[in-house]
Amino acid sequence: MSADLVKLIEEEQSAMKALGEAQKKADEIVREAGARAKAILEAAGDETAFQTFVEERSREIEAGRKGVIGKAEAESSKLSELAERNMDRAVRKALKEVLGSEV
Amino acid sequence: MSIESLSLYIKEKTQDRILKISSDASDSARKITQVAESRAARIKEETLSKLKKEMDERERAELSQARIEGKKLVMQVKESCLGKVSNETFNRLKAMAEKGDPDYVRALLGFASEAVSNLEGAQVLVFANARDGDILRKHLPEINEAASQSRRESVVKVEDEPIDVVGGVLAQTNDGERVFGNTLETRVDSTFKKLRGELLAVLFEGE
Repeated sequence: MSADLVKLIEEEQSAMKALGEAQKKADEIVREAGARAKAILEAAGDETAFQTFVEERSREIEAGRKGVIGKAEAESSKLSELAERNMDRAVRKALKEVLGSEV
Repeated sequence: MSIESLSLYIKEKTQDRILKISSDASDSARKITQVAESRAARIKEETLSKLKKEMDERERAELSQARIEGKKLVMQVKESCLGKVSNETFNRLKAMAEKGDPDYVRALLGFASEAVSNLEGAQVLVFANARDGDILRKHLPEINEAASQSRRESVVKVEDEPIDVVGGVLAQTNDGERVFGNTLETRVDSTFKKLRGELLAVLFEGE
């Protein structure tokens, strides 16, 4: 075999090796991209990422609930005061009905 | 072609193929990432939309429950106030009965007349507590007189045996078939049923 032919065969072998390494790198790039994609999708499906939103809405709902109850409590308190003030008139009206005459 | 040219050709071809492999890999990786990001955005949007809907439903349910609780609270306060009026009314009536207040005595005679007027029979028996029984016996002619206008001939008798009531009367025909309750307890009870709306209006006037 001539020296030139040997050189050419070596050149071809070196090229094949370089191509193999390039393919390995390419496969690694694609594999890493697949792994990143998986991580992206997992993160997207994780509802804990929306925890802030849920907590904020929960606070709003609780505030609304307390507001409604607070309003009812204020109304109840006002009613109690009015009842205290008007109690005697109501009792007299009931007495009048029971006894059939003004007391 | 010389060996040098052939060697150079192999080198150049190899370099081209390496660049192509690398470029294809980068393109694939970019596409994979783009698809993932696009799907992730859609998933996030759907998740957020689902959570928003859930939170809105929770808000509606909790506010609705709170409104019910609030109304219940207000109703309880109104009932409680009405209960106080009822207790106070009863206590005042009891005090009037115990001290023989003229208004009470007049009302007692009215209770008895009303009770016997509502019963028909040869004899109507009137039951009361000991104190009211004494009062009724003293005023029996007046009761008979008042009752005779609406009743057929019958005799009213106040029973000697007292009954356990705060005041008022219980009347029954002598055969025991018909009974008319006109005790203070029943009067107060029926008054509060009848005047419930009016009493609430008086109690909470100024609302």
